[in-house]
Amino acid sequence: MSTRRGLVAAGAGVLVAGCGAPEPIAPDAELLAGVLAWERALVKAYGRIPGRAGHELAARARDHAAWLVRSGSRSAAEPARAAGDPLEAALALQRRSMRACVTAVGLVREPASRALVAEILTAGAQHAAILLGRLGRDPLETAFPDGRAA
Amino acid sequence: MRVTRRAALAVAALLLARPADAAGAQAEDTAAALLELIAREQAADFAYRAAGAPRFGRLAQHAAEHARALRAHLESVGRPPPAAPGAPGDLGPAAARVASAGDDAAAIALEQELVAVCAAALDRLYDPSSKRTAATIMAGHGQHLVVLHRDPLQALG
Repeated sequence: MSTRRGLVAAGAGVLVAGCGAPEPIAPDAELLAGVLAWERALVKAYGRIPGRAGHELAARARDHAAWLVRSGSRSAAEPARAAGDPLEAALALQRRSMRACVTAVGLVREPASRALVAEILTAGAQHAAILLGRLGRDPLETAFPDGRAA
Repeated sequence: MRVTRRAALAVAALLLARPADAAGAQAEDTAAALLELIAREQAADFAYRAAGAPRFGRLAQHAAEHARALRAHLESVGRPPPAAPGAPGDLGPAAARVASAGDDAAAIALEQELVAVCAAALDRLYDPSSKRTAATIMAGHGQHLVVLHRDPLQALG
């Protein structure tokens, strides 16, 4: 699965480089706002997980939201609400945030914005691995954690 | 008049040449960054396999997948891949420690280095697809840090 995803990602790179097909580019603030909305939702979702893990992960999501706001991002979107099993709900939201990061990291123009979303993506992958472990699943489900379920 | 026209033509030629030079420099920098990333991933693959610990098997497999995906990007800019390491002497210090010591502390140091190398490469890569591949590889090394720590929460920066 991971191998196929890696090759597909690599193939997409070849196609983009070969055809020069441009991707529509939104302003950095708009791309970061997509991440901010999910990180705010994650603060609430991780707050539903009892114990040290929930506390630590909520704190990280809060940090990410603060960094994004400091970088100029604004999001008026109401954070998505987590429902159902706290671990599963948090994992689903974490993956949404990771997908927003992957979209943004290829398109943002400012190096500081790119570094920020790459760091939030990496932290998100770590959070997902922790959640997967607690759910009794493989924490290393893919070599290319991009928010898509393996 | 002749001189003025010649000068104008020279300036025009320079203006036309600059974007091509810039594009060439971008391609060079992208290729150099990809070569660096591939070499690091190949070294990590070699080191984890040389260490021989079963718990490093997945990490070696992921490193090999990373190198394979990056090689496809490198081919798209018309460059051949770097040679894979053939002996521990071909490795950098962090990978060499994994190959020789084979403990989790060495692996954690290597994975932290790989995260930093990916982060540094992002701005040198030209197209969105290669940036995304490098970013998800960086995230993959972040996940490795989680499984290498006895307390996964300690892996969080």
